[in-house]
Order: sequence, then C-alpha cells, then structure tokens
Amino acid sequence: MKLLWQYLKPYKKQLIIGPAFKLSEAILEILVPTLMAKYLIDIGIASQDTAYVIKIGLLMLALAVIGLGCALVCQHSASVASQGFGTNLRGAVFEHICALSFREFDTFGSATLLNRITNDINILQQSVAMIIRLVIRAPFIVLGSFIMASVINIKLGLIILATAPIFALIIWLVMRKTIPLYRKIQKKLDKIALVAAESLDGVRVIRAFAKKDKERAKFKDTTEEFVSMSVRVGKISAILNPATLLVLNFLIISVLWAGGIQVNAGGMTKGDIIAVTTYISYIMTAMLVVADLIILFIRAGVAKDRVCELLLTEPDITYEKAHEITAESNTVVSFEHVGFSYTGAEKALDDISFSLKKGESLGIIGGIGSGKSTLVSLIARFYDVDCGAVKINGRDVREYSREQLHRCVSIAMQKSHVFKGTIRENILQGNPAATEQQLQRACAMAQADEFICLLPDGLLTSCEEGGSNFSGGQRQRICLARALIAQAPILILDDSSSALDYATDLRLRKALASDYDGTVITVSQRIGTIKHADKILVLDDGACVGFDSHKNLLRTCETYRAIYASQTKREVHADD
Amino acid sequence: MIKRIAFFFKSVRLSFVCSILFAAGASGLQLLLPYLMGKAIDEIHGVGSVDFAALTHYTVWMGCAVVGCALCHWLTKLFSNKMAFRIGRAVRLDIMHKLDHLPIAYYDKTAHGDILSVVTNDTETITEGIQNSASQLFCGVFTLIGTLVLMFSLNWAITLIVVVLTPFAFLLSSFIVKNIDKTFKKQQQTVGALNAYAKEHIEAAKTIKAYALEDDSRAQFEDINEQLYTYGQKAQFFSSLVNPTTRLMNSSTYIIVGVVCALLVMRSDSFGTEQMTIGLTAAFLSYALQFAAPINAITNVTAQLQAAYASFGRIFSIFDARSEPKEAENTPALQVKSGAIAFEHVQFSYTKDKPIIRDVSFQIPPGSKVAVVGPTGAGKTTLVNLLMRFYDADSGEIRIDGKNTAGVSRDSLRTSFAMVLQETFLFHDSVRANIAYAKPQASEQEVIKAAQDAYAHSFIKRLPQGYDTVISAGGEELSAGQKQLLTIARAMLADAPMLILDEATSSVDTLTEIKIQKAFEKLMKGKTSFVIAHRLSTIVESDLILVMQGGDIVEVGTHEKLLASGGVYSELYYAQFEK
Repeated sequence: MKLLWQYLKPYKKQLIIGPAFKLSEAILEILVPTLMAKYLIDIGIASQDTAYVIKIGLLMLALAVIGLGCALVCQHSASVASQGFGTNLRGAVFEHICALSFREFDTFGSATLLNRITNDINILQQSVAMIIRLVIRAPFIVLGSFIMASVINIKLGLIILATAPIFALIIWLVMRKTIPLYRKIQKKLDKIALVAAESLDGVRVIRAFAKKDKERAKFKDTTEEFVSMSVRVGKISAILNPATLLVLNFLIISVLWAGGIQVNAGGMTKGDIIAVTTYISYIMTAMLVVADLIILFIRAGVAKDRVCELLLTEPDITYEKAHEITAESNTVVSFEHVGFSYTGAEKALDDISFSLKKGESLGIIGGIGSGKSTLVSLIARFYDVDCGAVKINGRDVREYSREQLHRCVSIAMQKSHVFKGTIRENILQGNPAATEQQLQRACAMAQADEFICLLPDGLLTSCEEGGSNFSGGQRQRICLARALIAQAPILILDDSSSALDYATDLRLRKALASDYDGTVITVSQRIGTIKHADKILVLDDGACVGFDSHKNLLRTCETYRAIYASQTKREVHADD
Repeated sequence: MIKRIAFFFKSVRLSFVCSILFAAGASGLQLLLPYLMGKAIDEIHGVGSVDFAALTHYTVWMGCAVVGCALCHWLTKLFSNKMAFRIGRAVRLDIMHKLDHLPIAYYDKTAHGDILSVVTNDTETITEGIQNSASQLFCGVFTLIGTLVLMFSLNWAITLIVVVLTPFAFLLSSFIVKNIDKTFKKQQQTVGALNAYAKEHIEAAKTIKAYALEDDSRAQFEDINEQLYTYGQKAQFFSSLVNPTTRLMNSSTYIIVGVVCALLVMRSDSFGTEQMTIGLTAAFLSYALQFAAPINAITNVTAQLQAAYASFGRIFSIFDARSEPKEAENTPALQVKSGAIAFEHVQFSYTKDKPIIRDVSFQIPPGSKVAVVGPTGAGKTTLVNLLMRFYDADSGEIRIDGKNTAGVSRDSLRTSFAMVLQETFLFHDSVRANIAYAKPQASEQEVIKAAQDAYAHSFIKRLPQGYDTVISAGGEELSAGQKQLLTIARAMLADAPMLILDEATSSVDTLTEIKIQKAFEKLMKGKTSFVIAHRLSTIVESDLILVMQGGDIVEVGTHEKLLASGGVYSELYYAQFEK
C-alpha cells in the first residue's frame, strides 16, 4: 500500500476535498426529507401559509442545487485524482519495466507485463475514484443511521449492532473464496493475451501450415477456462448483494417484534418504530453500495499485488553513479575466466579468457549455441557474469555508469527491432544529437543509403511496427546505421549482416575498415566476414578453442579449420 | 450498430429472459415489503394494545417476501453474469475468427498491440459493462413501473406531474451522454495507442536497452500517458455528471410534489381522484423517493454502458476490415503431381505507387532445385508471399502443374509447401509440439528423426527437459540459430511435396548448414524446391538460378552459365572473395 501511496500523494487535496464535498451533499440530501416533514407539512399546512410553503419549497430547491454543486466538486476531484494516480502509476511501472534486466524480461514475459500496465492499473484507478466518491458516504450513512436509531431506542440499536458480526462473516467468506479465484482469473487473462499475441505475430507460420483451426481451438480453450472461472467467481460474489438484503430485512422484522413488545409494555411509541425502520432502510441502501465496493476492492487487491510484485522486482543489474573513470589501458576489452549460465544449470560460457589490444579488431565464430551472442552481450552488460570479470579499458564493466557504458559500447544485435516511426527517427535513436552529416555518413557506411535514396520519402519514410514494410536486409541496415551513428569506441556487430548479400556485405566491411575509428567486434557465421580481423575467437560449446589470427588459426585450430573447409571447399579456386 | 450488438444478445436469449423475469420478481417483492411493513406497524396500536397474532401474520409474510426477493435478486445476478460472460466469450471468439480471415496485409499494417487491446481490454469492458449494469437496469425498470402503478392507484393527477417531470431527468442525462460519447471514443483510442506503444516497446525491450533508449521511450510513453490523462479525466468527469444531475432532477420532482400536495391539502381541493390528506402526501412523498432510486440506478450504469458501446465500436471496426476473398465451398484442393511452377507476367505492389514485382515470368521444370538470388529489397521474399498466396498478385498468373493457384484453396496450396522463413517464429509450447506443429499426430521417432535431420537433436537433448522443455513466449532461452534449427525441423516433419527456404539458414553456422542441406536434399529428392539465400555456396548446385533486381528477373541460368556471362550474378558471387 505504501508503495502505491506515493503515486496518490500528489492528489492529497482532491482526496480531502472530494469526500468532504460528497459528505456535504449527503447531509444536504438527508436534510430535505426532514425539511419536508417538519416545516413544509407540519408547520406550513398547519398554519395555512401559502407563502411560507412556497418559501420552504424554494429553500429546498436551493439546497438541492447546492448539493449538485458539491457533487460536481467531488466528481471532479475524483476524476482528477484517480486518473492522475493511474497516469503516475502507469508512468512509474513503464519506467520500472524499462529498468528491468534482460534476465527479468525473460522470466516475466511480455504478455503479463502488458496486462499489468493496462488492465491492472485500470482497476486500481477505478478503485481510487470509488474511494473518493463512495467510501466516505456509505459508512457515514451506516454509522449515522445506527447512532440515530440507538438514540431513539438503545435496545433496538443493540439489535442492529448484533447484525454486524453476521455481515463480517458473510464478507469474510466471500473474500476468502474469491480472492484466489480473482488472482487465477487475472492469470488466465494474461494467457488469453499471450495466445492472441501469438496468433497475431505468428500469422505467417500458422497460415503456411494451414493451422488456423488448431490456433482457434487453443484460443477457444483458453477463453472457456477464463469464462468458467469468471462464472464461478461471479456465482460467489452474486451472494453478497441478496445476503445483505436478507439480513437487513430480517433485522426490520426483528425490530418490528422487539418494538411491538416494547410498545405493548409502554417503553416506546409507534413513531419511534417507524423512524428506526426508516434508518434501517438507509443502512440497507448504503450496505448494498458497500457490497459492490467490496467486490471492486477484492479485484483491486489482486491488481495491487500484481503491480507491486512488478515494482518490487529489483533489477538485478544496477549501475554505478556517473563517476570519473580515468583508466587508460592498453587492452580495450578483456575477459578473465568468465563463466556464465542463463538458467543456473547449463553453462553457456565456461572459463573464457582473452584480451584485445587497442587498435585490434575481433572476429568471433563458432557453431550454433556455442555462446557467441552471449559473449558479446556480456560486454554490453546485458547480463552479469557468474564468475570472472569482463573489463573495458582495464576496468570491470560493473564499475561503469549506464551512460558511460553505453557511450563505450554500441551493439547491432542479431534481431534488432525497427520501431514505428520514420527511418530517420530509428537511426537517430543511436545518437539523438547526431548532425545531418553524421546521419548521412552512418547511412552510407551501413550501406543503407542505396535503398533509402530510392524511397520517395527517403529518410522520412515511415516504418510499420517491427519494420514489417521492409525486407530483412533493409531492416538490418537500418539497425546497422543506428549502431554506427553512435560512433562508440567499441562497436559490436552480432551477426547483424546475415541478411545482406555478399556484395553489400563486402562494401559494408570495407567501409567499416576504412571509416570506422574504433574497435570493431564482429560475430558471424561467415569466415569471409571475420577473417580479416586482427584476432579471431573460436567458440565451441561455450568454451574458447582458439584465439589468434586467421593464418595462425588455420594451422593450430581444428574447429576453425573445419569451419573454413566447409565454406570454401567449392570455391578454392577463387580464394588466395 | 445496435442491430449488430443485438445479434450478440440473441445467443444468450435464455439468460436474458431469465434475468428479466427474476428482476421483475425481485422488484415486485421489494415493492411489496413496505406495504406489508406498513400493515404490520398498523397492528402496533399503543400500550397494551398490540395485536401480536396479526403482527405474526404480517411478519411471516414479510419473511417469505424477503426470502423470495433475495432469491430473485441472486438469480437475476447469476443469469446476468452468465449472459455477460457468454457475450464476452462470443465477442472474443468472433474477433479471432475474423482475424483468421483477414489478409496478411492487415497484419503487416496494423499495430498488433492495438488488436490485442481489443481482444483483451475492450472485451473486458463489454463483459463488465453487461455484468454490472444488466441487473441494475432490469430491476430499475421494473421498480419504476411498479412504483408508477402504485402512485396511479393513489392519485392519478399528481402522478401525472411526476410522469411529466421524469423525462427531464432522462433528457438531461441523454444530453450529457451524447456529449461524452466523443470523449469516450477519444479515450478508448488513446488506450489503444498506449497499449500498442507499450506492446511494441516491451517486446523490443532488448533493442531499447542496447541503445539506452529507455529515457526516450519513457518520454514518448509519458506523452501518450498524459494524453490519456486528459481524455480519461474528461471522460470520467463527464460520465460522473450524469448521476448528480439526475439526482437534482429527482429532488426537484420530490420537492414540487411536496409543495403541490401541501397547497392542495390547504385548499382542500379534490384534485385528481380523492381529497388530498396529510397521510396521502406522506405516502406520495415516500413513493416519489422510491421512484428516484431506479432512475439513479439506470443513469448510474450509463457510463459503463457508454464505455461498452465504444468498445463495441472498436470491435466492429475489426469486423469491418476486408477479409480475404471467401473461397467457394467447392474450391478444388491443389494436388501436386509433378511440381512444375510457372509465373506468367506477374505484377505486384504493396502500395499502389511502388511496384515491387514489375513483370515476372519464368518456368520451373518439375523436381528442380531453384535458387533466387539478388540484392536485398529486390523482391525475393515478395515472390514467396505471392507463391504462398499471403498476398495475391495484382495481375498475371502463378501456375502449379498448370493450375492457376488463384483457383485452388489457400490451405491446400500452402500445405503443398514446407516452408522455413527468415523470421523464426516459435510457439509458447514444448519443443516437441513446436516440431510437430504441422503434423501433431507424428510419432516420437518421427519428431526425433526430424530434429536429427535438422541437427537440432543434440542441443534439444541438453535442454533442461529435453523435448518437453517449454519455449518461453519470447523464446529467449534459445539462440537465433537454435530457433532456426527448430523451424527447419518443423518444416522437415511437414513432409510437403514442395519446399520454400527463405534465408532459412542465415543464422546457422556453415558446418551445420551443409549437413542440413544434405538432409534436405534427401528429403526433397525429385521435389521442387525454392531457395532464397545469400550464401552463394548453398546456391551453386541449384538446377536453376533466378537473379532478381529491382522487381525484375534479370538473369536465369545455371551457376556456370551465369558466371560465364559476367552479369549481376558473377558480381555478387565474386564479392564474397574480395578482400
């Protein structure tokens, strides 16, 4: 609760004003029947004073209008505070999601993150509005009516009080049954989102294998589970309202009896009974509202837990504050006995050590799942090592601040995402402060200018979500330009030219070699792409089996030779 | 629109009728209670003169009425719940059904987060709207009618005053509702935009982190979020106006009735049916108060119904998107005999002004291995899109075994090809289920065989649960190459008469690639296959090479022939050996 309070705190004013005005409205509302009975009917009719009757009538109308004014103030406060709270919380949750590490993304999954930032926050937002609008009013009426009834007759008051434990029991039973169910329902909703997202994102695969029916059946099953669970929870919560009605009406019957006995004995008047029953009906209307509120708050409780769980997930990668790093070292990147695993069980990298000197370029090659991408993602500190150390300029990557590290390392990933927006915006993400000249240069180096200049809108061509209006090779070059424009001292290309044809790939390599001043680390499957690197790291199943130049590796490294042979055996005549 | 919404209610007729009936019962009994209570109170005359026998009589009746009333309320709620969830389910399934029939172009052009928001949020809004408002609405209407009848029986003339004044409350609220309609639409649109943005950015989180774009994407999110605040606050405020305003109208009615009654009592007029008395005034006033409650309840739910209505609008906009042309029931299935493929003057563009395929014609003899090469953006993947009929050609024909593919069923055409695409897409399911996706009845041996042929077996065995390992929604635990191997295994098991490989091995190392190719060769012996690749080593042995550039086929021939002619192909080929 404390966690969420900070997002509501800026609306303290509304939180006080709203209920206060609501209370005023309720008081004015309760005044009207009294005015009607006591003044208009008792005094007005008795004195046969037409002018007085009209005067009281106008007074009541005036009160009603003032009541409306109060209500408007309350509703306005409620809308400002609840929407403001929702907006603040959404912003904070999004910010927190941004701060999560790669590992936490892997565990949460995007469907539930998305549902938490939308559905769950919506429920919380709605509850805040309800708190302001109803929470003060309903208990005020319940308590007020109870006190008024007790003042009239303490015995009848005690009878009313006796129902309190019954209500508590009913509410407790309903909550106990429904809270776990609501939690499950939210999970099922996550699943619906997941299955739906899959059939959207995997539409080509589904249609290629003609599996629409299968996907539809899967979605149907998930929906059925969701519905049957919702129906169950609905059945339980549907008890709350009629049960309230039942208890309070039996209370009225008891009051009639107890009152009847007392009247018979001479302890109270008939009018008192009428008054007490009237107050009980006031309690009834208020309690029905309370019953609805309880259901809303049960759901809000589940939503709160889900949001808080997310907010309380401390990112396992935290950065140092920005500080002076003076380290000048001969080695640009070095790995010292680095071990790493994704799951804790199987090692993705095992005891990797190497160092790369200033001015040297590095190529990384190896089979599938040998740990190439893992290795470079450790340099960019997407994950933290389990043991050993990764150093940049002689300093552990964990000693850098986020900005410093990002200024040092720019990476074009295997599967980079092109965002909705223009090509220009996408590229500038790599360096928002880049000049027009730098932009042109990055495009040229990435070999992206050749297809961009053919587009009628050039750099201002808009990209669909995921860049779906571009071919794989075009997307890769946009991402390459984005990585290049940062002009970082260390540039990592993680198999980021795999969709490029050889001619384009060659031009890219040449451009990088001549124009890029910084250390270039290239991960590739193609010998041709990396063989000109000063050092080549050969990975096999998470272990380093070779670290040397192309020439030397051909002599010393069995794995490297095998890869080399596989790629050149048909074209030996063209090589060397 | 109302008609289309009504259609959804048709399927829940029974629940609908039941909830109305029980609502009527509940309201009737609830109106009976004050009457019985009044009777009971009348039996309490004064000290020593309480008629306990009569009191028992009336209270027993009250007890029965209370039990019946609570029961009716409960059943109303149950049936309206059932109705709400049924409709929610029907809406969800219908959306998915519709999505099944939308062309790929729709998926490529629409933000997936937007569609997702309709499937989850809008459907929830509808379900909740119906769930919360149905019982209130039904009970409200019946209480309204019941009170009106009771009032008429007391004094028709004063009841007329109430009847004349009541529509004002409804007019006023409908006036407000009309005005909030726009803000609601804007709010829902912004919610959609926010969801789309959040989805894209949450799914691309790794790219965002790689470029330290967190601040940027946060700022943009904040913009949309602020916008949502503006519209959301307005929509909420305006919709919450309905309730207090009707309350004012109700109080005014109450006051006017009171004043008129009082004046009548004073003038001893027989206005209406009988002489107005103080007792009658009290009765009228209590009914006027009762009368207000259902009106409040009805207007109370308008905001929710309004939101549900707006959500229906967004759902119908998906329904209104143009589906793939429907296939006739008797559309023949494609039966591949030899696998000869021919393109005849095929033209295609994604957007009118930008032709992607200009005028492509070629013939592929049955059983040949065809490679398509060319610089990126030349239209290679588009060729696959057309062949699989993910998109339909603007003009020209694509023939398989002499049959125009536009004339056969899409499913039969698509299943004639085993396909491995550039984009590796895996389902959140076990490794086994992913491999056996095209052939769920495949035996364990077949699955393992396919995995072995795709060289995926060894890494699968090392996964924590082997073939039972569930791949996470983003497939993060697998490398790009491993994912590709799984999609290859999937295609191998599909065992189709023809094959399409679109950059299928781009993330696979060359050693594995050669082995996979051998497995494919064995598998595809005598079958037509289409290979798009950049690695020319994979292309050299093709029977036919199509070289594409700028949407045209510029060269056709074998490796040797093309190399000798010294055109685009030889340029591409030699590029890989240049230093």
